[in-house]
Amino acid sequence: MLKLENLSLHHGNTHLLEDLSLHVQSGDFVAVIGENGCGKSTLLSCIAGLHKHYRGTLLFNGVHLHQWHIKQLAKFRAYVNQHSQLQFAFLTEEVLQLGRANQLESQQQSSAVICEIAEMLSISHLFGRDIRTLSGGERQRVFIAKALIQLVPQQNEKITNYKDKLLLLDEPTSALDFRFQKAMMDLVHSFCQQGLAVICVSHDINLVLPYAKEVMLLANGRCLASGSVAQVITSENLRQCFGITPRLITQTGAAPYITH
Amino acid sequence: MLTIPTQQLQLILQKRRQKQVKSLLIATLLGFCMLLVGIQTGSVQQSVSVLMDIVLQKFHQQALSQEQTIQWYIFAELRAPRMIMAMLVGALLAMSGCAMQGLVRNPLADPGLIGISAGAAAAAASVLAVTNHFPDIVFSGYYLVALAAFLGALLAVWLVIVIARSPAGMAISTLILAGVAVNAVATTHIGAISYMANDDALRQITYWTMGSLGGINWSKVVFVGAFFLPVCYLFLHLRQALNMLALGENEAQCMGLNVSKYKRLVLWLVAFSVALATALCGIIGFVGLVVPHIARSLFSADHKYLMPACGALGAILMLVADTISRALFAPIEIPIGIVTSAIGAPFFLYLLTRNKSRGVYA
Repeated sequence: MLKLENLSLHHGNTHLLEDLSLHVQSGDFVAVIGENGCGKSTLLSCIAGLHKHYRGTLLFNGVHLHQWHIKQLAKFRAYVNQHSQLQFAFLTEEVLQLGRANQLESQQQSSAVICEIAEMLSISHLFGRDIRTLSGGERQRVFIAKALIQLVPQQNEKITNYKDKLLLLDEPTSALDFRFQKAMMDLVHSFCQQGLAVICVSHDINLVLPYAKEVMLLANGRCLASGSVAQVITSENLRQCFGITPRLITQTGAAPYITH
Repeated sequence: MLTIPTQQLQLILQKRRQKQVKSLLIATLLGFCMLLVGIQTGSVQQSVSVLMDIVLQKFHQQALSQEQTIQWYIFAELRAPRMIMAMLVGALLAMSGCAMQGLVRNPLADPGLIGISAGAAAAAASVLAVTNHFPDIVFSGYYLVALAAFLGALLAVWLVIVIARSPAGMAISTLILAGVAVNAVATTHIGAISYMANDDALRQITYWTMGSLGGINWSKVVFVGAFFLPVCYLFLHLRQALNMLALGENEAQCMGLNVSKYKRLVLWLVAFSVALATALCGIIGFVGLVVPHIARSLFSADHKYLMPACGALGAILMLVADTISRALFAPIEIPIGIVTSAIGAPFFLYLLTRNKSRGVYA
């Protein structure tokens, strides 16, 4: 569904992304990892369609990304940013309602979708609260919920699963507590089982690896390694990427656990 | 079959809508009361009942006494057009402020930020100085100044947009900086003109920059009124876009908003509205800054309710300011810009202090 081939992005003389290739199928969970400033978030924003001047091929559901109509694209891909910029006193449900802004449906239908997702993320009790007064973790859950709400198909649409839909997560668990980190990843994974493709940028490698079908290791905007967890997560690759040699604890049938 | 949380959310949304509609009705009622107060107040006191008698007499085609004719003239030709103009201009300025604050995601923003008022003032000052120096070439003083102010405002915005434009789009931070630069150029121009102008022209320039509703007649009201409805429609059309933009430009684009198109639309709509208001009434400060704040605290941050609320409250604030400007030192009329600033500046300081103590800026 998503095909990146030789993707490069430059800003002046700075090479932000260089020659990246990635194929994502429906239901895939792709983890993008790498050191600070290596281009993970830039890659995500490029896939989200926020950069016009990229080079290479970026096909989403068989169509070049820049050929997608912006409203139509919003129904198929959602992006959770690292930082929210909300300055005004919006209420939780008002932010969530924006996720359904592109759908032609009754308020009753959109309320049903909002409530369903809000229940899944345990944020129903935040209805009526000013978004700026929420804790970082609560706010993060609200914005992830908004992104999921954006991707929920309309009731009269023929598609009943999330096939051909893509969720881009930039550090989705950075502000979440221990309980919600796991719950969030489990929830996202359950959507993957319904066909949703997820590309997740995270520094918490141990949290995302158990869910990842594919891993992309980035360094200085270039792809150091990509493929299955076993292929990519090796001491040598991690040493090249982070400049330290971590200890890998491997168990049969489980993702490796990385420690210092 | 709806689940219980869905019904609860529906109920919350329904209650909020009812509350907003109720508040909007109260605001409309308040506006109506202010209208009645405004009709009766001024250098000549008039009572509504006397005016009603005159209306009835005119309806029955009965002759009016001389005193009644004067009263009717004051009401129909002087007070009514300026009060309607006050409401139209107030609503336009307040909705422009609301749109501007939404666009730059900063509750301390004002339409003047992108040089609209300064551009209008620079052009108006130039024309006032020239027409004062060469009175023979004036073919229509007032309208020439108004036209110059209108074009000056649009030129300033065009300059700001051109400076802020880049291949990657128009960055809001560059837009604000370009606005500061254009404001500075316009202010320097006004300074130079004021320095060279004679006493009469200087007085006219100063008076113009203070804003005034004096000299408003029905033709000017009809002129602004003709643009008011389409402009209002466009402002209301921007509600959802401004809500999305409030989350950030990237967020808005990912939610399906054509950000660059809507940014241009907001800027030109604000520029047109403020230019229209400024051209006919001079610079009226603080309405675009303060009214969205009041509306946000009384109504909601959701532009669906905020935009109409700003329109209503802007109209009311200008009615109050107009009544004060006519009544405070009657028969002398204070320029309305001074009144709005006198109300707006302390209120703005109060908001800043309150927000500082709360640690928020809205």
